Amino acid sequence: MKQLQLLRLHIRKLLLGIAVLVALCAFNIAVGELKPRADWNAVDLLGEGGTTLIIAIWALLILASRPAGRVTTLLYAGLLTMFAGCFQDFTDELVRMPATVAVWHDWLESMLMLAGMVTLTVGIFLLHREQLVIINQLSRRERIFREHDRVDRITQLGDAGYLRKQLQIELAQCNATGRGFAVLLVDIDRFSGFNREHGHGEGNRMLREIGELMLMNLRPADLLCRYAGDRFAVLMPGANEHIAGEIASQLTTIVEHFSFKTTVDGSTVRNTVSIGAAVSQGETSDDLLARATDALEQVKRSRPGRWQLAA
Amino acid sequence: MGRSWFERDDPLIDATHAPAILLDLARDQGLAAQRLLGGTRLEPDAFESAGTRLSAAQWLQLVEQADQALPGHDLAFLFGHRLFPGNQSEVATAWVNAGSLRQALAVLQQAEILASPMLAPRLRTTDAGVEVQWEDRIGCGHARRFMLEAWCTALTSLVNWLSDRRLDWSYRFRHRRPAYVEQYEVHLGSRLEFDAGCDAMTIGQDMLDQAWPRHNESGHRQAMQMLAARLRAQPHRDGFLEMLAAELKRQIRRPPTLEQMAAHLHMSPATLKRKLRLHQSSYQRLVDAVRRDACERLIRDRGFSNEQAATYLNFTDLTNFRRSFKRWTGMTPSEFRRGFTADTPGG
Repeated sequence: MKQLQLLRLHIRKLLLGIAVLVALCAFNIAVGELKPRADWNAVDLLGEGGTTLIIAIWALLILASRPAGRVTTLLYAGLLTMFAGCFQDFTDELVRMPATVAVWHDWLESMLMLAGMVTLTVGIFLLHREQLVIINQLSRRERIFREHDRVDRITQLGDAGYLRKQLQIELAQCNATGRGFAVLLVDIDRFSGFNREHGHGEGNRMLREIGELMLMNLRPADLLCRYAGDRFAVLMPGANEHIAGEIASQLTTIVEHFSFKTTVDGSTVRNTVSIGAAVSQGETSDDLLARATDALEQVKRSRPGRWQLAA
Repeated sequence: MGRSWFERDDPLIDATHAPAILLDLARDQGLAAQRLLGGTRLEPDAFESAGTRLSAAQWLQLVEQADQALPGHDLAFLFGHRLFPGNQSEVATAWVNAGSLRQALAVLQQAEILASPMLAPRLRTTDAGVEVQWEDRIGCGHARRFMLEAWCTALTSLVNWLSDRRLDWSYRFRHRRPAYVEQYEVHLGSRLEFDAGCDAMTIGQDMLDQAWPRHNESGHRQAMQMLAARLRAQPHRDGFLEMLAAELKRQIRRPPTLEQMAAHLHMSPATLKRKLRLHQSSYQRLVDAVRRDACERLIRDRGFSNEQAATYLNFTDLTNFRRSFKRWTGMTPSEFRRGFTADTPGG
């Protein structure tokens, strides 16, 4: 459904595309004459027809995946021009142009392809610049690589699978360069009770807001993931016991000072988080997470709302 | 129906209970009821008013479809959090007013099929503490893991809420350690064992009688009486596999052959085999599961030596015993002993 929503923004562009297609068909019918069946070359027809069709699919996918704007317009314009060039290349196989037209028609065909590719290249270059801005916006949510099916649908953070991959990368880095790292497991206290009292929709909204709150309080190189349920994980490259403890302590404080407002009557709900921290000792990611989990379980049992460093 | 047990296609679960909760959850996650109900021959309005009963087969299909249609691995756990105390008034009232874990577990045991239609909760006191074992009543097949995840979460979440603290359960599961073990850690806890001989959760005995804040003794007692009256009016029947397992446990030292069992149930061996297949099981699998569980308990809970266990379970010799043990658990008896003695201190 989302795809159709985005396409709706681009109705004028779609109409333009259809108009181009209609114009090209009309031009071919008016000027050219159909070649006899015997002159058709099946391989050329398949190759050029297939290319044309695929370019049309690219153009549609671009429109379906992007909001309106300069980059989208350039990408679409480039693809549409290339489509026109390819389409004429394809109809060449079916239609013979009179000698007067043939010369400039061949020239036009090639120029359309080139112009389309140049436009597309400019579009892709701007897409690259746009991407850098987006990566910056996603800072602390994603690192080094992107996997869209590893994004949690409620908090828009990476999930436990994404975290494990990142831990492995970090571990390899650590072995190669000797730079250490730490992991925090952050658990919201009494979350299940909150859900029973206020409903699961409110619970999800609180997860999202506490997630946002923590993102703002991490270092630029840190990564926040949703581990599972009401538990978050922070991967902190280069952090030692001191830094991990400092950030953990800051996180418990900012959540304590955060007053969540319910949808029903806007009343305030206060929260605390408990944190288990572990600094890598070069063990496997599962063992590291197990140490952080142990520390977290101890805090939750003895003094919820605080943090503890794993032994 | 002359039989004393229920089977896969008998009407069983009120659609307004657990199924309605699953439907709500799926709707919250953006899954349309029509898509979830496809192929079950159920209409969405059946879940709004009492009267429609789903068979075990329909309920399992519904669960499998929900699990496949929704991304992520947390559906069973989220469902579990919403499941108890539930919307059957006697059961819910008895729970909410319970004064201790002992009382809450008594409600679970009393409510049986009303609270847990697919997995039979079996309460048992061992040296390690109080154990709730979840026994497959009817052959949950692919949905078994989902059911276990959901009902373990349901009980865990309920008693945490009622006691207003985090109770430290240890869990044992027969299935392999899943890739999404973090869901188990967060929703259940980090004391987890997989590839075990049974599906069970255990808690220390000292937790049983600690007083709970919402305690209302008369409210609890009245609800328990109403529940008992309701169960007298609609007596409880065991599920097909549950009935067979109970029969096998009664004769654990010398399990009957398939033919003997069939004769006992007044059916032909072919019918018994066919019914077992229909319930996702086989006679040998059932016998193995019951004997393995019994054997592990003898060794773990009662400290039996190999000789004692082999004699008790009527093995012809020790070699045979070791071979069977290895086939059941993938370990030798001594490896098994090392596993649980190493685990006990510090969890």
